[in-house]
Amino acid sequence: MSRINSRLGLISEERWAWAVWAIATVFAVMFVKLWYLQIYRGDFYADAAKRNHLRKIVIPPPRGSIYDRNGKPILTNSDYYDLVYVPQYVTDKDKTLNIISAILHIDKGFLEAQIERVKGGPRFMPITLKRNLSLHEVSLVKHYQIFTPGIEVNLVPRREYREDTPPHLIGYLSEIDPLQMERLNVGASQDDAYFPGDLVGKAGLEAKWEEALRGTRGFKLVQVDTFGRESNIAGQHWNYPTTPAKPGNDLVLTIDRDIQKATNDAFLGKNGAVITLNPQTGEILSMVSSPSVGPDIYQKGMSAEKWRAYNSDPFRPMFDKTTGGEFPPGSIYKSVLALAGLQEGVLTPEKTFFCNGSYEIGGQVFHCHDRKGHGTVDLATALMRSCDVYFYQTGLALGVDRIAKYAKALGLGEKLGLGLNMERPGLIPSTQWKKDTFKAPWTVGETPSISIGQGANLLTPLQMLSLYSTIANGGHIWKPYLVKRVMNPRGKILFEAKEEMLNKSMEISDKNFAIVRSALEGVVMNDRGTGKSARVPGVTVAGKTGSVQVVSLKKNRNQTNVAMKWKEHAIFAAFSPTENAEIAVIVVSENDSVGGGGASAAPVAGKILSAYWEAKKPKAPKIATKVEEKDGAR
Amino acid sequence: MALAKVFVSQKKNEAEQIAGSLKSGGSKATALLITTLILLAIGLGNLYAITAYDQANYFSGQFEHALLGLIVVAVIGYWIPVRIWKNYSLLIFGGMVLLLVLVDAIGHTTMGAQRWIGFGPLRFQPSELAKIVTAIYVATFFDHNAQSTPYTFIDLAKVIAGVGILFGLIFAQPDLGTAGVCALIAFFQIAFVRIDRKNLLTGILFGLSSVVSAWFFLLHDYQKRRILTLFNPEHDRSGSGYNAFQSIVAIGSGQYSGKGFLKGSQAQLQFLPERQTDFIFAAFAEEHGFLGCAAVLILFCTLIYLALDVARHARNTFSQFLAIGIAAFYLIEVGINCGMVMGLVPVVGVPLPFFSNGGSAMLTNCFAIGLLVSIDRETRGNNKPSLLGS
Repeated sequence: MSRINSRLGLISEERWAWAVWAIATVFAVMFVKLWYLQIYRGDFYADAAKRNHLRKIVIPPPRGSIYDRNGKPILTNSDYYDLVYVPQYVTDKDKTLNIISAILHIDKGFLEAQIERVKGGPRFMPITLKRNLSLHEVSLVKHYQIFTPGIEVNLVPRREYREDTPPHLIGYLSEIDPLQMERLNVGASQDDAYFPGDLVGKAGLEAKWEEALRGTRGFKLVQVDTFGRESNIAGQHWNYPTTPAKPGNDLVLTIDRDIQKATNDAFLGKNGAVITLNPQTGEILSMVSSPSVGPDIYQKGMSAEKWRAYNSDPFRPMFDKTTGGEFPPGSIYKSVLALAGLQEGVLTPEKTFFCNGSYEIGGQVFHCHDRKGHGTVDLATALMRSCDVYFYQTGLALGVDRIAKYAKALGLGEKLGLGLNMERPGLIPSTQWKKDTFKAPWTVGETPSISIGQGANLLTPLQMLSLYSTIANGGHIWKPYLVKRVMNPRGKILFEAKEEMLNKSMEISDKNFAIVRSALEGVVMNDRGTGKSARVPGVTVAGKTGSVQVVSLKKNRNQTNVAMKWKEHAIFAAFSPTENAEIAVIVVSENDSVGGGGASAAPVAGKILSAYWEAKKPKAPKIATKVEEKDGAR
Repeated sequence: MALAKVFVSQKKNEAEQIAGSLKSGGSKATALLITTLILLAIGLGNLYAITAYDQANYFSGQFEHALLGLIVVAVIGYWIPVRIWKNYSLLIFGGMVLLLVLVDAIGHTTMGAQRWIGFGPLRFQPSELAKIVTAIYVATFFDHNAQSTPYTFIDLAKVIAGVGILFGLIFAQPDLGTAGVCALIAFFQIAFVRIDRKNLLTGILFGLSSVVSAWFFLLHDYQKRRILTLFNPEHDRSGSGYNAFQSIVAIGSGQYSGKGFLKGSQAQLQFLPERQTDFIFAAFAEEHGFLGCAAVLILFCTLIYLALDVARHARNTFSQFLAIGIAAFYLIEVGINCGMVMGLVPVVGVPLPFFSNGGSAMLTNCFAIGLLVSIDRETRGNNKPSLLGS
């Protein structure tokens, strides 16, 4: 009672103090919480707000271009038009898709499926409805654009495959698969990592030089509102940094586009592999594997039907035979026997054997390809006429292991290290190999076969070429290479290839190389030579023909009426000129030989070589005078 | 407590000094009006900023409401004497009940609740005004039933019943926030009188049991969820905790000095829900940071303290209790609204005075300021300009 001392007698005085305390408490608590949120945890929430309204958009980098040795383009990028659908701007999805479906003749269900596929993504993110629109389609879309808000045409840099882009050499691009992505992303930073849907080189140079060609993706920040729509509200106040995409680095190849074209033209209609290179350096000048699948087919997408057709084709269009195809070398292997025989003293240039058309050993009869026999033959004639009996005897005199020793000294039986498209090592048989593989000893009866490049012998076309370029340059085994240099988009050279010698065959003397070279020259230049159809006016050409039996056709030796798949492979290896050769060429034409090697493959080599020399002719004097002037000035 | 007593006695001395100075011209009314005008200006500026890019133009509508509100302040504060509200309190209460019944019967529905009533082109939310009606009703009760002994429940039965009717009608809309504010205003007013201890204990027990039964029988699921997310707003960011979390992100990201006028990404890009009404303080906090928030909270604190001071010096029981009710009204609205955007109390629909968009709330706030001015002028004994005075 005594505490009621208010003027009005109803309110006790202490209640005013309570009220002040209540007010103070309410505001104090709010101040503390504000301090906690804005000062103590301010950075955290500022970051949370940023993550709320900023989205990182990837800008895909254009891949590096590929040029030939003279800077002519082999593979570049072009802008392609893609039809995209931006959900945030679409007012009436149904109507929009109806219009697009009608003007571009695309099934509406397909369009809906494309949108459904990325459902739940941010609404500002364009969804690709159709890739690679034609200009006509672009004009149609633009014409109807006022009725279809949210439909846009995007410019996308993409590979521009030329008609003469060599498919196997370049390889192709395809969307990265999860396993490969996992492997490639090990240790990659967020900016370098592959994302699902990224294109990645799957074969050829695109795969081997993926890292150089790929480029670095750029980013831009986009402000979005709570509905995921891109919003420029208040955007003028904020400047978001944009990281532009860095285009991939360019490759300059050792390939010469003109020789590549000549190679392609010369081999048109045939199946197999053709390669040319510079025997003094190992630079590959042209490379063709036939038949092929255009790389754009992967970009456009392949129907299951087409895929099956490609896979069931006996000539395997998707397979690169230049490095991965292993063939018995046939008669071109006789050069190895010649070198081995000379070096081991089994042969001399003058030593002769008599060929009566066949050779018998241990009750087994080995025929010469000319059943009438070549008569008395020396080394030059044996190579020129490709006498089998001569080399049966040479082989038997050497024995399998000595042949293998020299084959290996010439760089055969292992990969050359081009590293393109599943390069294969080939196979050089030996007693050890027989023991390891078949748990059986070598029998003498097997030696004649391998002496003429049949039997277990396997070489890739690249190895055959390397063999002949080694003969041409006198024993240097150059590592073949394709990429001369890598340049960044501003032209700065990042990598410059240098010729790399894998080995110098010390086992074989220069003299013996010279003997074989001059014998090989006879193959082409002598009128009785098997490879005379590879002649080029004005220069010397040395070479060797070969034909490889696919099966033994005893009944129809002439192969006049043989199904294609039973025909022999025609092989021709050559270099030109004989001394200090500038170009070596290998032609492996599958199932193409009718009654002998030289008729099918040698003309192909001849065309390529004449194209090479033809191209050099007008240039030669010009370069010469320039050099002279320079020298004179000094 | 001792501190408080010292504080209060100091205040008392101060108040007496002020009271002395009042006669010479200065007044709490002036301070109140200045504080109100500053808050109103900040509130309007903020509403303009955070809805600048909206298609709906909230600002111009609210600006008109504010002008109308200033007229209300003038009319209520300088024209109508305080006792009119006491004399007609039963009529006012009855009218309020009728309006609320009408709202339940024919009102407009927004967000699942019937809150609006239309008069031709105008729409009005009677439940906002019910907050002041509650204060008037309770003040009238104590004016009529002043006693020097502690109140028992039987003594208070009539006022509890009256407030209960208002509470029930608003709760039925359903509008938990407004109903709760009405109940709390009455609670604060009643808290100023002495209550019999046994009755108090019973009352607390009764209150607890009614809270428990309300949880199980009365509350809607969405209300329960809102209360539950209070305890861990970051737990469920996509569901009912989304609003609370985005609000906290908005406030926190304002940091020390804010992102700047028109630059609040949370509000401008609509991550912040209900940013022009219930969550407007979060939008303000985002753009103006701790400094801006502190300034606004100090202004609100000043306003409430002035209201309490007006109450303390009021001449009669009705004026005193009415001013207490109004002080409680501002304290509750500011406390609940700011508290909920900061994650201190559950998310219930309570507007922030002078900030949140809404004509009914603006007019109610101005009405309350007008009443305080009127009471202050009554205290200082110059009600002369009044036309209805006698």
